[in-house]
Amino acid sequence: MRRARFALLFVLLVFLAGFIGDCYLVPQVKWLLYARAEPDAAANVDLIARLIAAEAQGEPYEGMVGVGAVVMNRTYDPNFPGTIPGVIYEPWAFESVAIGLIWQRTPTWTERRAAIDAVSGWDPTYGSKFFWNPAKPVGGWIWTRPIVRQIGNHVFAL
Amino acid sequence: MRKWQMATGFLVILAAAVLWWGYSQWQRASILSNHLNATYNASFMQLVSYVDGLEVGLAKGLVAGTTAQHVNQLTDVWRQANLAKESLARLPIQQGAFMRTAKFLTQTGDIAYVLARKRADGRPVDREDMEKLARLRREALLVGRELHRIQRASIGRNFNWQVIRQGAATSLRQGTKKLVSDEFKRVDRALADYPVLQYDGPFSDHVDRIAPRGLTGPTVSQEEAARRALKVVPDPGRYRTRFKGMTRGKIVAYAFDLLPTSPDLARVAVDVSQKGGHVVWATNTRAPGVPRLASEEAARAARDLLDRLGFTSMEASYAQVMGGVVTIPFAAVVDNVLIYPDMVKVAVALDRGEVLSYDALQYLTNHRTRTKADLTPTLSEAEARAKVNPDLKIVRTRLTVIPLEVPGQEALAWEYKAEKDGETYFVYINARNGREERILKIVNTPQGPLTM
Repeated sequence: MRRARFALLFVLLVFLAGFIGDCYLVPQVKWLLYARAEPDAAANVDLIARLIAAEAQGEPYEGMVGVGAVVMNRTYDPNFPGTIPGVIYEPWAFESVAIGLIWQRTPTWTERRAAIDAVSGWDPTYGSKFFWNPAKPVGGWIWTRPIVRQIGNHVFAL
Repeated sequence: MRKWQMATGFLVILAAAVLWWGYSQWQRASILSNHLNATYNASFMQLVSYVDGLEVGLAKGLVAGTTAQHVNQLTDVWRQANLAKESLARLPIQQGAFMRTAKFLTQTGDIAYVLARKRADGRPVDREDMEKLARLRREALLVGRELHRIQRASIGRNFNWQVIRQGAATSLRQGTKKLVSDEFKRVDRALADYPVLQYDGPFSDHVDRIAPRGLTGPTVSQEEAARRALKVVPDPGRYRTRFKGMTRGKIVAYAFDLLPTSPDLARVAVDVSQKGGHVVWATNTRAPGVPRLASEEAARAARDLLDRLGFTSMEASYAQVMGGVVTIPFAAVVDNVLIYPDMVKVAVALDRGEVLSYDALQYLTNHRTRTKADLTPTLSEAEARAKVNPDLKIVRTRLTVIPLEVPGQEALAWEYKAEKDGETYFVYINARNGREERILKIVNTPQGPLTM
């Protein structure tokens, strides 16, 4: 009986996920959204939303968008891979990917909205390519980057 | 006595179970680790061979005599550079240790692509372009030499890539670790003496340094900026401003929070530029509720905001609804020409028609005064129409300014909205030289592409 209920719930969830996923397939007049944006398919938005959920939980909204914007900025930078999954899965680029946290948290609606904002080109970090929590120990090298601003617990840097 | 025997027996069984479990875990871990190492090794070997191929391609490109052969070689360099970069991105090297090499590969591909297109368009490649290729070839030789050095050191050994990134903790395998990270740093250092490469491509260095053209006006004080920040909300009397600090990026801006004085409102974050006091972006942190309004009604809130911020001639080209929020990009209209680069984006919540976000970065980056001459086409509409694929059924025409692939560059172009097999395309014909600059395709969604 319980198992049947779980199965039903699971099926419902799958349908719901599919429905929400569909909502992300946006009309693509590409550069109207952003000059060189990749096709902003559902999978890319989901990946960024997951990264935001793992890296910026509890941060202010603009700080969440900031994390997504860093991913987008990296795709336009010659020093980094040119695609969203390339940037996110780059070995040791993000701690939450390395330790698997990115798969443990399910993005909330707010985090998804932040991901959509970032993919459509909103950048509260003015071109930043790095962010870190200054209260936590980080590599000395990263402090050589010019800092643009702090949002919540993260500093963003070029 | 019996008790002891039983306990011992139990312990022996437990120990055996633990041993067996430990062994199987170790075995699994080593299989995974070998598998991962094999992937890393493959990526590294591929990187070396792509860099070699790239160097050969550049060399051949320098001696190619005909356009066709030149384009062949350049597109091959473009391909090898992209593949090399992909292989490099898969290696678990510490961030920052590999920056120059990654950049070298991106820019080599980028330049090859730009030059190949130049040749394919029938434009000549000049002395300067050839010098750039020659320089890239010298760099490719250096990178190749250092990579081969690592490869030679790795022959007959199983590089432990996991060890390479694990800080200083490991002492036993210090040898390998030191070898690889130092060697990789040498690859990067080999490129250190080369100055910044100047060229016009999407990944060129100068892109970061483009000064925002629309950022005009006198420097404003913090008080003035706060006053302007309040223009973002329709009822400024119900908020108080809090200054959070300055941003130090391409745009120096005052960062404010607008804190509501009544509980039905949420915090609004606003950045106001120091130069000119322009609102760069604003976001209302309220989570939107159940949608009640139609996009058209919500658009009114967006228009009101643009009025308050002093925009006089903006046109919405389409709207996009997602999760109870409608996003409307507005582009400037000058002499009936739609200026796509001068764009602001406004998002409105469909529950109570409140602006959720505003983003003018693109506008502030691109906006400038465009003269009558800037907006007068050389090619007539009919002349441009002849360049459009005859299979397309043209449904609408308009004169527009569009951004080009190289950031900061734009072109006056005839926009043709056209249809084929039930699908909608936008074709852009340069109104000066007749080049078919771009083709865009509308992808249909469950909500349908809403055009306004």
